[in-house]
Amino acid sequence: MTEYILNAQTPLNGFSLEKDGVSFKEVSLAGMISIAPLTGQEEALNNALKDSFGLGLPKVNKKASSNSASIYCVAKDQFFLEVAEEKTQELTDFLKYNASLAAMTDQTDSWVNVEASGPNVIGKFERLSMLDIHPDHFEVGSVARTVMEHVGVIFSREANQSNGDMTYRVMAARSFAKSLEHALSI
Amino acid sequence: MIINHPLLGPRDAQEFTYLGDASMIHRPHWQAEDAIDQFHDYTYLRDNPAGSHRELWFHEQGDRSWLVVTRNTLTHEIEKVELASDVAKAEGRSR
Amino acid sequence: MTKDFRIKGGVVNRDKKLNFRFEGKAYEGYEGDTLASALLANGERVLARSFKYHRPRGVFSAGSEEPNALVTLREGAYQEPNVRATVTELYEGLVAKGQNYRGCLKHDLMAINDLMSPFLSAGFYYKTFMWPAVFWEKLYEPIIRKAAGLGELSMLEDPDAYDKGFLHCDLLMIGSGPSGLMAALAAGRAGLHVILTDEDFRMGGRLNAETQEVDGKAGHVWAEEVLSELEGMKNVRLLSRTTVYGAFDHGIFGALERVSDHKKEGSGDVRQILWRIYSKRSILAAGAIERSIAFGNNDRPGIMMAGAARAYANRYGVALGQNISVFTNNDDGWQTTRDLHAKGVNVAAIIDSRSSTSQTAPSGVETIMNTAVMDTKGRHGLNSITLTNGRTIKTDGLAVSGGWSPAVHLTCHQRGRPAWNEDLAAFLPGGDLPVGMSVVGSANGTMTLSACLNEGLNIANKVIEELGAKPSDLSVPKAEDETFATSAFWHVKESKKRAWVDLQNDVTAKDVKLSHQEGFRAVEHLKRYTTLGMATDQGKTSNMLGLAIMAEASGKTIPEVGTTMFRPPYSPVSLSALAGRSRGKEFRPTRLTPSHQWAEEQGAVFVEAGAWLRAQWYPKDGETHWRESVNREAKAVRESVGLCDVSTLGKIDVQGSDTAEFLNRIYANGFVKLPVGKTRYGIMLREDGMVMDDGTTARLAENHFLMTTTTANAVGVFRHMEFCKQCLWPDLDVQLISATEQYAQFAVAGPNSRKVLEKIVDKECDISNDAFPFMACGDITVCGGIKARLFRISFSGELAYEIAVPARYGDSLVRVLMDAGKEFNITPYGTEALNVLRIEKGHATGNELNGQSTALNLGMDRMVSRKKDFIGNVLYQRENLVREDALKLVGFKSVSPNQELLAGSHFIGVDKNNVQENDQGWMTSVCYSPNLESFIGLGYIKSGDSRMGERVRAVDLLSKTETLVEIVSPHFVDPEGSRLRD
Repeated sequence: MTEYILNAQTPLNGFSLEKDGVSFKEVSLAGMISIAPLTGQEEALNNALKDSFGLGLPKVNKKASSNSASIYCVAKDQFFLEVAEEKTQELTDFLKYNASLAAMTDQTDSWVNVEASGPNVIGKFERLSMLDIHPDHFEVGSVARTVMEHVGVIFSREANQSNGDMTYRVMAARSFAKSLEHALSI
Repeated sequence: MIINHPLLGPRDAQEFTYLGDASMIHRPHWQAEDAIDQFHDYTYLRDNPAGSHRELWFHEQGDRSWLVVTRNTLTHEIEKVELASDVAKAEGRSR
Repeated sequence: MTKDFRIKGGVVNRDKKLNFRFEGKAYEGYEGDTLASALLANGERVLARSFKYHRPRGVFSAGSEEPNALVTLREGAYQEPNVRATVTELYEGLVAKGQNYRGCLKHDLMAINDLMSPFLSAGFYYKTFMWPAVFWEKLYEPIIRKAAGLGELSMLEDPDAYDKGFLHCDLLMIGSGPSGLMAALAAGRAGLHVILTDEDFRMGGRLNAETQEVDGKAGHVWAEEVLSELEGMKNVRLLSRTTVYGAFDHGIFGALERVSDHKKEGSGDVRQILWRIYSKRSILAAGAIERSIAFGNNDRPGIMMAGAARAYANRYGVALGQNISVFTNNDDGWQTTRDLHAKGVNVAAIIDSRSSTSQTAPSGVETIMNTAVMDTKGRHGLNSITLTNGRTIKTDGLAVSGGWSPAVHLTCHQRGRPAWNEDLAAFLPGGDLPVGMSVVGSANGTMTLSACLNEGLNIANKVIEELGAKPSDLSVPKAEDETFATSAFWHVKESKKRAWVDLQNDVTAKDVKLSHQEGFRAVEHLKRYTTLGMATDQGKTSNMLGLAIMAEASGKTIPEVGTTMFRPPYSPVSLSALAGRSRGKEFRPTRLTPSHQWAEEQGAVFVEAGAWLRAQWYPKDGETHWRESVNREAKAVRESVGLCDVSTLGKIDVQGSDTAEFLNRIYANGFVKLPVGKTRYGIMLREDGMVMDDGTTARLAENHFLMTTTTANAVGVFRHMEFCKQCLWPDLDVQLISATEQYAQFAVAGPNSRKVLEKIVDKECDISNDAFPFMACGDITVCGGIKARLFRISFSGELAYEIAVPARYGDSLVRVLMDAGKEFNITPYGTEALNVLRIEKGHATGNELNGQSTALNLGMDRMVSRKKDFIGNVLYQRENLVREDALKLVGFKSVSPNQELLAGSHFIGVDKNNVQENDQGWMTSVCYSPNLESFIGLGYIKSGDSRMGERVRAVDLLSKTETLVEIVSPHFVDPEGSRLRD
């Protein structure tokens, strides 16, 4: 009997593009889950997260990050937790042992992520998104869920590049990957 | 239009879908004496004011919260925006 | 012979010559010219032919309010009709031609219409073209179509790229004249985020057209200095060539930026951007628009607005004639006299309708008070005017000044009405401004320079303070206030010849009076009956005249007549700009399944299912018709095994201690007692009792369910569930999230499906019939430890499974399954075969769940619980929905097996007439069944379940077909469902 092997693919197969003063590159996540606290469990959940990942639940539209994980809040009781490769086992365990604290689902494959940075990144996104992402109003660690070119997206502002260029990340549902790539590439 | 979301701040109405009168929060009891009449009114009858209107909007492309928006249908001025779950609880909805 | 009308001065760049063509002839102009100024400079007076009467027309204004000088710009696919030459920036290689003529512009064969004018007055088409009726489509309509409109489209696809954009600011400045610049400067220095827009390519408004000094220097020089400072501010953004065309709710404005219209076509830049501007405050500094006076033959080439004459002289260095005259009803016309005289142009006379004025004329210019112009001569270019005192004056250019109307339009885009001001004889912004808007300058009725500068600063400072910032120490520069005295003089009653009111739609004073005579006296009726103000200029120079004439005829005051509704756009916006980049295939986003690329490699034909692309069928070499492929696929599933990507179905993950109770209230059937590890078919109603959606829901753990919905209803069902959770039962402990994207999911269906799966499912997982019976679900691993979920559910009615893996493995899994299934001749099948299989089994889909059907109609009444509360439970039991003879979903077979059935046909008794009273129901789905070798269908028919074997006619009156059909069970194949449990 043949031993079959399944190969993994990222949504955009490592898309990258330099155009009009912006660099785009696809980012793939080692692990990501959704977290929605169940009734009365916010505090216990907060403590459990701090224990496992060193991060508590942030306020809405904010992202808290460490070297190996980040948690961000897109709604009153909707969070996403992302981890780097070294924390994937912690993530699996967290899912397994904390089902009574929160509704959690694996989201690792659900999203396409593209990072954008460069001197013209604001000029690029003002042609795409209704959000006010001007650095005065959208600081590092800000998150917003909105719609862009008819595609639901999650915008976040990441730390600046070493040369000072502003960096944003755009996430969309995986099935929209090609459409997102097209929207960004025009 | 801009809807000033109580948690997220001002957002373009394009992120939302509109449902209608906020009276839809008060679903009648299925075992009431005149349940069929109450459900008929609940499902089909609406006031159509030229003025202040309390209505339900869903932030579909945002945080997916339902909101009760008090909006003037003539001037489009939005007088108040509340989380629908807060309004529902305050008005007696529970389990 | 072309004469040269260039005079000294102006801000055009005489060092940069530009070559252009008009009507096939070559001309020269300068950088900074418009097409209109360059043509005038070259002595070209006739630029167009009027709409109805085909009269020669020339340049009337110097702005976007232009009614006459509409040309067709560019050629080929870039051709654009009805472009105003007065705002078209000249560029090297520009090509333009006139419009609306037969033959040539100078000798239009259609000019015969001018002689027919008594028959072509307002509303003539309401009284003609009626009879005989048969002539309408064949004769009248084609003639009218040919005659209607001005310019023509190329009918080729627009090759330019357009885009949209979104800008946020504290203050949106609309207009960069003196008041706008002062306000922008004040706001910029106070640190506000400012966007300054102007429709012109050169900011500065009328400072570029007038000779008054500001701060001791020429107005346009002061403007340049202010703009230079603004350009250097990081918090200020300048958008020239940008028309703010609409004031929408809550401080949102629409603006059109003409990014590269002034460059030769095909330059590769985006051509125009449609901006959505979000502002906290806005200041409208749009200025005022000069209006005309109605007198006999006032439409000839060479007759233009007096303010425009000044603009051509002072900004462009062009004279409107060599021996001009001025006709005015206010002080402003005298400024034109002085300015043109100062440039060395001969001014024959200034004619003022008023009895007196404090204004003086330069020496050598005759002043004629208390008189008016009543007629003119010179069809292809003015050569004389006749006054009411009988005199005729030889003149080749007439500058007319009828007064100034503040450009209030944007203040009225939200149902506001302007307010009449007697002193200015004009409408000013009314009380109800759009939220956050202030008005300054002549748009606000502030008509003199120093007052404008003051007002700009004061209002800006007010806005600055309202926004919580500190005003700077900016002070108003020195400037003079000219005098401004006007009179309400609208038309010359002595005129015997036609006096034009709306030049673009060829509406005359007589038409307005006719409208009154025929009873169309309300201002909105006047507009529609005469078409006054309905052309592309929207009556900017003519509405006032029309109102005034109607007021007089009605014995009313002008405010009593009122204005029509102002609506966006302020000036025309192309459909291409409104579309932006949403064109062709990219009109909207597409969602692709995990197996999409593989399916493309197989040559699959795709179908749009909402935003998704799904494989419809997979043609094989040699197959020439889609039904061949579909038949093969449907047969293969029942005979061996097939593979179908079902990732598109909505999946909603539901968790929390109240999950089972919550689902129990959403579904009509029970879910509280569903055992862990089992799946159940669920039917969901709307509150009115109609079926909304169906799907299968799996219980993965005590408080963890995974719901599926149909592809089409996924978004709506999720929205509905959030509504129930947040608004109806806010204290239930339940959370929802979409899981549609996380998994690639494939249906493996057919008698050999288990055998295929056994080749990839890891040995530790037992998927035998006993361990994993029909409707089971659970977590498994495949291909050496990859986590997967398996559901034993079947849409095809065969032994079948759905296997889900994280989407990253989707492409790989489909290839692995195809390889593992090779020995069983595994066949990929698409949505068409899927449809055949489910019709053969009598499963309902969207065709049957059309929003008008109930569970009873579907034969599922027994599934609907009477013992619990759920959405739709009460209204489901309405009298008319539970009647004896309710529609029932049944199967239909063509009596002659190869006669095709038509979905949508209605059922009529064999010996009954085809009328509505005899309509018993309709056919919802049809297909050719390769497994039964017959055309079959599903449909609703009254009391269908108790009429098995009966024959009816399936009738379609549109295609005029009918088929004799037999009522049969909807479960055509394996009605006992034994194959499912194998």
